[in-house]
Formats: sequence, structure tokens, C-alpha cells
Amino acid sequence: MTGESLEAETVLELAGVSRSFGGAVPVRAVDDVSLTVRAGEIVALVGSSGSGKSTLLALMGALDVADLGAVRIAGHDVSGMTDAHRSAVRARFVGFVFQQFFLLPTLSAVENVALGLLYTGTDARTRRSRAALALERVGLGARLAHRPSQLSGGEQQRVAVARALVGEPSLVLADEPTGALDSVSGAGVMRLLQSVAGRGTAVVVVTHDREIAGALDRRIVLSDGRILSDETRRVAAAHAAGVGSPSETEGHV
Amino acid sequence: MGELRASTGGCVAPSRLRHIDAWRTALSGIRSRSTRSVLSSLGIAVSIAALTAILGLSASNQADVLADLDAQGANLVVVTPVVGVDGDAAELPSSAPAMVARMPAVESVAVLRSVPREMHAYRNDLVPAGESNGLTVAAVDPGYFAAVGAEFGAGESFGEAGRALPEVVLGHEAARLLGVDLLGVDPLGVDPLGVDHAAQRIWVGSEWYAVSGILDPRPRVAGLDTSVLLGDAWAEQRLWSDHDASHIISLTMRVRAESLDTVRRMLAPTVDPSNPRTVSVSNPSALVATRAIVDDSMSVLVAGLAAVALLVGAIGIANTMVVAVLERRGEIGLRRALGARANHIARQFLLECIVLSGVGGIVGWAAGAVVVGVATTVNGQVFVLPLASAALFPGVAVIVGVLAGLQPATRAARVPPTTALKAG
Ligand SMILES: Nc1ncnc2c1ncn2[C@@H]1O[C@H](COP(=O)(O)OP(=O)(O)O)[C@@H](O)[C@H]1O
Ligand SMILES: [Mg+2]
Repeated sequence: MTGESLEAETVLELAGVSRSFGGAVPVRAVDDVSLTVRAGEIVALVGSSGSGKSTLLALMGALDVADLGAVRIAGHDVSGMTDAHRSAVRARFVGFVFQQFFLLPTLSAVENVALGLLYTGTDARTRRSRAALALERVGLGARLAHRPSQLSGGEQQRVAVARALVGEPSLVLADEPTGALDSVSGAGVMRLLQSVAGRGTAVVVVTHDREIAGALDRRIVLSDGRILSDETRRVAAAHAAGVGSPSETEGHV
Repeated sequence: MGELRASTGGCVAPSRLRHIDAWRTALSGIRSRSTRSVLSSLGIAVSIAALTAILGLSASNQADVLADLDAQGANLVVVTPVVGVDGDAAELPSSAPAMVARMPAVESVAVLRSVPREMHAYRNDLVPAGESNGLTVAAVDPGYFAAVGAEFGAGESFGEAGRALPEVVLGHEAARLLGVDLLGVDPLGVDPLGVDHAAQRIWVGSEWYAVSGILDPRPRVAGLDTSVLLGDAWAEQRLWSDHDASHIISLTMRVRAESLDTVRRMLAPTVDPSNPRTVSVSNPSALVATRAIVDDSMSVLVAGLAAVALLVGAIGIANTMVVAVLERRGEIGLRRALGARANHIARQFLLECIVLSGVGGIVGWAAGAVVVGVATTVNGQVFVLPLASAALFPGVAVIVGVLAGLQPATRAARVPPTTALKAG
């Protein structure tokens, strides 16, 4: 990491972000989190159940609003935005992937993927052709007309990834994307997300699978809403510099 | 804490959903729950069908009742000259029939003309001149009988041919008093029984007149039952010498019922623009009042049933939407994640309500119209269904659907996206 400049563009920036939930005993689900994610980076967000991973991911994607602190996505400070503008940031710059896929059962794969462009005001024909391309990109070019029920779990999640990618977002946020999959399909989805990062998109993956987390370049550990550690593997930097040892990378990729 | 570098990115335009896509989304939402959608649409359809049937049946009934009333004379207005202080029989201007006929709400005009005062009708030439039975002799055109709604109990009008001949039509009472019944006279003029034709003629003034027809009783037209009516051309050519005078003693017009008041107000100046005060206009008030009551009671009944039927339909739609919002939380959360604004979510559910209730309204109206068609055919009534209901009822259904969906839709829009996603 010397002068050869890995200074990729900053896609996501959180500064002193907190989020509490009311109730008899208020819970500070995210507590004073600051971090930066650059284009092309893939980050594992780990921590025990209830540590605030999902809440933090929602804040990163402008799906929720922080009580304190600032969130900047692709250069846009979303903290003071109206719902309409915050929604536009999600539509244009963020792609979400969820554990439960959230595919609409009555729509075909390509129609589900096209939903990813619905709220950008793109016309229907463009949406469809771009959705078809996105499905090809995730290896499902032959499954355009299939309903979710006709697809395996791994295929369904890849449709969901295609839906997240179809708008060519700067940031992809995945909340336990392999949580509902067997390990083989899960590995396939992770490979896919890594290739997404490889094309310059910033990717954050919430997981509590140690193996998966271990395969990623950077790992942020969350505990009680606070960042416990935020480590970028030396090997990643080394790999980027072209001196990575093959044995450390081939196992998972 | 909370400080970031000054923004470098420009402003983002609000996220946007095309109108066509909003409709498509609503339709696909409906298709995804087709059974329940059909059921809730059916609820609206049934209530609109009931409404349409009630409206159509009562309108058809009402048309029947009103036609009866009108046949009795509820829509007849009579214009007469005001009788002067000196008792002189005044007359209406000769231009009056044409002027009145030009009024838009006037459907027909019947003209009654006077004959010389000394003319009276008798059974025969032997009756002493004093015993005139109180019968009125007047002259009319052949269209008069239809115009006042009189029907022939026997015989027929003297017609165009008899208009200038010594022929008469008798009112029901006049015929009785004059002892004329036309029995045995066949309309073609052939007399199979060989009845004495002398019995079928009367003595008017100083001449014999053939009786061409006898009217059924028609008390609604004052004086008609005791009238002896001869052709106006005959009167003009053979009885009168002063051809400048109009000799019009009354105009009886059939007026469209809804315009009755307007027409009555306009009549005097139309009949005699220079002397409207010399014109007297009749008021068929009792029958008109009955007519208004028939109108009103029907509308109150319809309005009451309409309210109940629509309430039931609205509950159906509201229920479907409440369930849909609960069931589709995951979808709501997903759409928010994909960039939908809270408004887009509300709009999606409202459009679903509009489609469900609109389709229900149209189908219901059509079904109701079929019911009315069948019922009126079976009852031998005229099919009456105000055409405005074809637009109005589905429109009302849509309004009801939107009102019913408003609360569930706004609730759907208010669910925080993260909460919605947890439901998945
Ligand atoms: N909408 C909410 N209302 C109240 N408490 C919440 C809400 N969302 C999350 N929490 C609480 O915040 C904490 C963090 O939750 P979450 O971010 O889902 O954790 P993780 O994804 O790491 O399992 C938990 O204690 C959870 O109960
Ligand atoms: Mg979670």
C-alpha cells in the first residue's frame, strides 16, 4: 500500500452513526459507527445475533435513518433527505440482497429482476432487456421465464443478486445472503458477490459464517452496535499488489 | 461526530414510478391474489348489481305509473281566453296554436273552436229548441282527439275527409243523452243488421249531422264528455261568416311533465304577447302532486338501499386490503429497498382498490341491467334504466373502493421498511 495508489473512490461513508429503538428499555442497536467503504471493496460484517448488523446495513443503504451521525452514499449525504430523495438514492446507488430472497412468486425471473429498475422511471422495455442481461451475468440466461418456485434456492438468490445489480449500483448490501442456502449454493452466491466487487462495486456482506467471512478481504466485527474491529487482510493488499500467495486465496474463490 | 466533507455529489432527483408502471404493478398485485380479488370485486359487483336492478325496476315501474297518470291528464294544460266583464266570449289569437307548438316542451296542441252561439244539438228535428241538454257544440281538427288523449269507444274520428262535412264526434255523455250508440254500425260503413241509419245522426242547428264516432269517458278534459264536436273546416266554411276571427276558445296541450311549471309560466305571453292578462292557463295540480309523490318515494327507497348495498361492498374491499397489507409486508419492504417511496406504496394499494371496485362496478351494472331487462320483459313493462347510471354507479363504486382502501394503503405506506422486511 505505497504510492501505487489504491485510492479508489469512496462509495460509502459513515461518521458517528447511531440508531436506537424505543421501548421500555431503549436499545442502542448501532452505536457511534464510523467507517468508509471504497469502490471494488468487499467487506464482511460479522457479529453475534442482535449485535446490530442488519440495522447497520439498513443505515448504509438509506433504508433507515440514523438518529445521530451522517451517512454519505455515492457522495450524497442522506441524513437530512426527504423520503423521496432517500428512495432515489436507494433506487440508483444501492442494491440489496436478503436472506429470504423476496422474489414475487407470480413474476418470472426476468420480471423479478426488472423490478430493480421500476422506481428509477426507466421504461418497461429497457427494464426488461437490462434484466435479461443481468440474469445472464449471474449465469441464469436460460431461466428468464421461470417462476421462483421452478428455481432452486441458489438460483433464486442469484435472481435476487441480478435484481440488485440491474441498476448498476455503486453499493451492494447483502444481509446473510447464504443463510437460507446449502453450502454449495452459498459458495456460488459468494463467488458471484466477489465478482461483483471485482468489477468495481462496493459490497458489504452480513454473515455469521466464519468461513465465508474469512474468505473476504476486509472484516468488520460488530458487538452491541459498536465496531469491535475493522481489519483488512494483509494478504488482500498483497494480492492486489500482485504478490499474494496462491494457497491463501484459492480455497474460497 | 457526524461531520462529513462537503458534499461533492449533486442533488438526486426524487425516485419515480411511471403512471403506466403504477397501474401495471396494481394489476400484477391483483393477479397474484386472484381468488381473493375476485371475491372482493364480486362483493362490489353484487351491490352495484342490486343497485342497478333497484333503480331500473323502480324507474320502469315509475314510468308505468307516470304513463298512467299522464294518460289521465297530468300533463295536459288548457289555455282559454279570460271571459270579459260583459260576458262576451273572448277568443285567442289565430297565431296562438303555431306559437305554442313551437315551445320545446309542448308535445302536441289541440285546438277547440267555437260555433255560432245559437247552434245546439238535438236527437232529431222534432225536439223543441229549448231542450238542449246542456251539450256544448264546438269545432275541432281531426287531430284533436289524440291530442287530448281521448279514445274512441265506438266509430272513429271524422278524419280529414269528414273535416269539411256535416259529421260529428260525440263525447260519452253527449252520446248517451242524444241516444246514439253506433251499435251495429260497422266501421266500413256496411250495415249487416240493417239498423235504421236515422238513429246514427243528430240534428245540430238546422241540419242533420252523421255521427262518426263516440268517445270513451274522459273527465280529465273538462267538458269533453258533454261535447258535440264537428269539423273545423265545416264550421269555418258553412257556419261562420266573419272569417277574420280565430274562433279559438281553448288550446289543450300535452306538455313534458318535467317542464310543466316552466311551460305554464311561459304560456300566457306566448299565446297573446300583447295581452297576456287575457289568457287563462289551467293547473293540473292534483295529478301533478301525485306525480311528484311517485317520483319522490321511489328515489328515497333507492337511496336507502343504495347506501346499505355500498356499505357492504366497501367493507369487502377494506377487508381485502387490510389482509393484503398484512400478507404483503415482505413485498412492501422489498419495494422500499428497491427505491419505492412511501407514496408509491400507498398508490399501489389505492390503484388496486380502484381496479377491484371499478371492475366490480362495471360488471355489477351490466348484471343489474340484465336483471331489469328480464324483469321488464316478463312483466310487459317498458325497459327504463337511466343511462347516466352506467357511468355513475361504477364511479360511485370506485369512490367507495378508494375510501375503503385509504386507511389500509396509508398504513402500508407508513410501515418502516426495515420492519416490513423482517416479516418476510
Ligand atoms: N425495529 C426495531 N424495533 C426495536 N428493536 C429493534 C428493531 N430492529 C432491531 N432492533 C433491536 O436492535 C438490536 C440489533 O438488531 P439487528 O440489527 O437485527 O441485529 P443482527 O442483525 O445483528 O442480528 C437487537 O437488539 C434488536 O432487538
Ligand atoms: Mg440480522
